[in-house]
Order: sequence, then structure tokens, then C-alpha cells
Amino acid sequence: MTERMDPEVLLQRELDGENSPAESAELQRRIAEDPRLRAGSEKLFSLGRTLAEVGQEDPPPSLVADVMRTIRANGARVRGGWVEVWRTAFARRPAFAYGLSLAAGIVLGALGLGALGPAALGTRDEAAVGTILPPGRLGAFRQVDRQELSSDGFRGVAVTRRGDGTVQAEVRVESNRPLQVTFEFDAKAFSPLGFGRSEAAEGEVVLEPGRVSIAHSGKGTYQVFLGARSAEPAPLTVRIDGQGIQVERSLETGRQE
Amino acid sequence: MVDGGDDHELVERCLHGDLDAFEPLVVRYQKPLFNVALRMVKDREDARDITQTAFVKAFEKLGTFDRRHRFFSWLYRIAVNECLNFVTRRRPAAPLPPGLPAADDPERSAEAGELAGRIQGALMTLSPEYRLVVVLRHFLGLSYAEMSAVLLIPEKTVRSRLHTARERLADTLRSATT
Repeated sequence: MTERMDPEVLLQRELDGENSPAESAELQRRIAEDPRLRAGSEKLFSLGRTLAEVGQEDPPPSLVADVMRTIRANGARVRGGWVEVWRTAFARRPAFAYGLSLAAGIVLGALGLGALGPAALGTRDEAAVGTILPPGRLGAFRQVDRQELSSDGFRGVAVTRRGDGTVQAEVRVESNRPLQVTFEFDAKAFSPLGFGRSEAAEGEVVLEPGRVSIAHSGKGTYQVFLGARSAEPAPLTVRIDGQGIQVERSLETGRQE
Repeated sequence: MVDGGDDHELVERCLHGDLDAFEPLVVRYQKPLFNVALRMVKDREDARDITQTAFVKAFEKLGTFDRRHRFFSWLYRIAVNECLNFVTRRRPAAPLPPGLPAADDPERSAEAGELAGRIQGALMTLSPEYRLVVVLRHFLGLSYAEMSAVLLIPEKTVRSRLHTARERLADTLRSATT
């Protein structure tokens, strides 16, 4: 076995401490016989010794505090809003949490119905962020439309379903690069009731009149629940944007039966 | 290698809203991450920024961490990507003459010792891909399998890349001393 092994490979393995005693002995024998190999081994072993002498440096003492300060600041923005309130409430008092979800749905519904217009909502930075309703709490839905979103660099599918006075739009997406997933709808035809997502999907969610946008990475499922203001159908658009990616699909939302 | 037996437990707590659970992970991995960054970019302040950014990004992406894998591999990969992004952005940096301390920080280099300065100078002559395998292997002590998991390249490629990197580094160090 060792007879056939390239001496250069044996040399590298010796440096990594991977050679068996027999292989080490074989390497020593070859080094003794071959001046060129001897020079190469001296060079590499010297490098190994030198690298071993250089230890790790201590990081700046304030690094941990700085990281945690930044995370807490970001965490207050990302998790400290509806997501945190909702999660905590569900974990501790489910009944209260469903009440909270209902109240939040009513508030968002009011936004969509125009009780609070865009002027009252203010700038995009002031738009609500987070999760309001859990998926699957709004009764039975029938599928209305389904469209593939897949493109180079990501896989995805969009589905719309219709329930009693409610439309559910769902996007499932898997990507190895960051994407922006956007649901767009006519704010006069639909009022947003809630938003759900799979546990692994953690990106920031921005809810605005006529639009829900999500910062996506990895694999995730997103559901938007819309209250239909009319029995007449109105389309809904799903858009995926990312580096070199731009996919847009219009989905039917169906009639009220 | 760092023992990260309860890493997953801490990650779970973070995902359930316990931000404080991330702090032990930062404490545990700050040194290896900082040293990867330092050896990749040479400057302590830049290394500090890279390390901080890597931790913050890791926290933000915790939901995408696949719990079937080891946390440190995932975390190191984020740090490595940050280093490579930084090096790519900074690109103009010409290779330093080996053996010379960093020009912008001569006092520190002197304190750290001539040896560390020589090694760092020689490392900076390697391309980032070669520098990275030397750093992961010799400064962090990762195995080939771990390096393969961090770099997302086959173990065979790791071996071949490290082989070449060592040869070049040894030649650079040798030529600097003769």
C-alpha cells in the first residue's frame, strides 16, 4: 500500500499526522534515499513547525457586548413587534393569543377598508411588520389557481384558495440566495386579514395597503389571508425579486360561491 | 475543535425569542471567528467588523439553520463568506513583501512578534482561496471533513488546495529568509 503512495502525498499526510507508523517509516526511507524529497520535506516540516508556533490572538474585549447590542437593537425591530407578541402569547396563553389575532385582524381589516387611509398609515417605514394570524384558522378553502414560479436559482410555487369571504394566497419558495417575495392586490377589492409562514421562514415582513412583502432566504412557505370585499373575482399578483431573478405571476382568486 | 454540544439547544432558545441565548454562542466562537478574519484580512479592526457582521447575520438567519448539521460549520461558513466578500471588495491590496510587518500597524506587529508578522505577510501573498485553507487547517485545527463542510467543496479539493497552499507558503517564507 505505502509502496505505491506518492511520496508528496505521504509528506502532506505526515504533516497532518495522518500517516500510520508503517507509512511514516516508509516516508523516512524515501527521504533518506531521495535528496530532492529531503529538501521538500525539510521545507514543509519547517512550515508546519512555524505555523504551530503562531497561536490564536484574543479578540477585542468589547466584541461580545457589541455583537449582543447590535442583535438586541435588530431583535427589537424584527422580533419585538407583532411576531414576538404573537409568539409569546401563543406559547403562554393560546386563548388570549387567538383573541389577539382576531383583534389584529380587525385592525388590519380596517386599514384595508380605508378606515385609515395611506395618509394615516404614513411612510413605508411605519407600516406594520410581522405575523398576525396563524394559518389554517379560517375554515375550509378550495384551490382556485396554481402557478409555478421556478427559475434559475430558486424553486417556487404560488397557490390561491377561496374560503367563505376569504382568499388565501400561498407561496412556497426554496432558494440559496436572498429573495424578496411580494404579494400585491387591489386594496379596494381585498382587506388583509392576516399572514402566516412556516417556522423556518424568519425574514422581515412588511404589510402595507395592497401589498405584503417578505425578505426571504432558504426554504419557506408564506400565506396571506385576504378578506374579499366583493363576490366578483379580482386578480392577485405574486412577484419574486432577487439578484438576476425577476418573476411575476397573476393569480385568479375566484368568485364567492 | 470547539465542543459545541449544546449549540443546538441555544439555537432553539434563540428561535423561541430568547435573545440572551445567543450570547454563549458568541462567547464560544468569537475567538476562532476573529482569528479566521484576522488571518484573512490582516487588520484587527477589519477583522473585528467582519466577525461582528458574521455573528449578526448568523443570528438573523438562524431560522434557516438546518439542525441536522453542526452549528459551527454553518457559522464558520457565514464568517468565511464575509471574509471573502471583504477581500473581493478591497481587491486592490497588493501582496505585502513577506517578512515585513503590517505597514499601518508596526507597533502591534512588533509586539505580536516577528514570527507572526512573517507568517501573516506570507499568508497575504496567497490568493484568498489558498489562504483560507491554511487558516482553517493550521490556525483553527479543522479536519479535512470539517473544512469540506465549511467551504462546501469536496474533501479531495480541500486536500489538493491545501497541498498547493503549503508549498507556496513554504517557498515564500523560505525566500524571505534567504
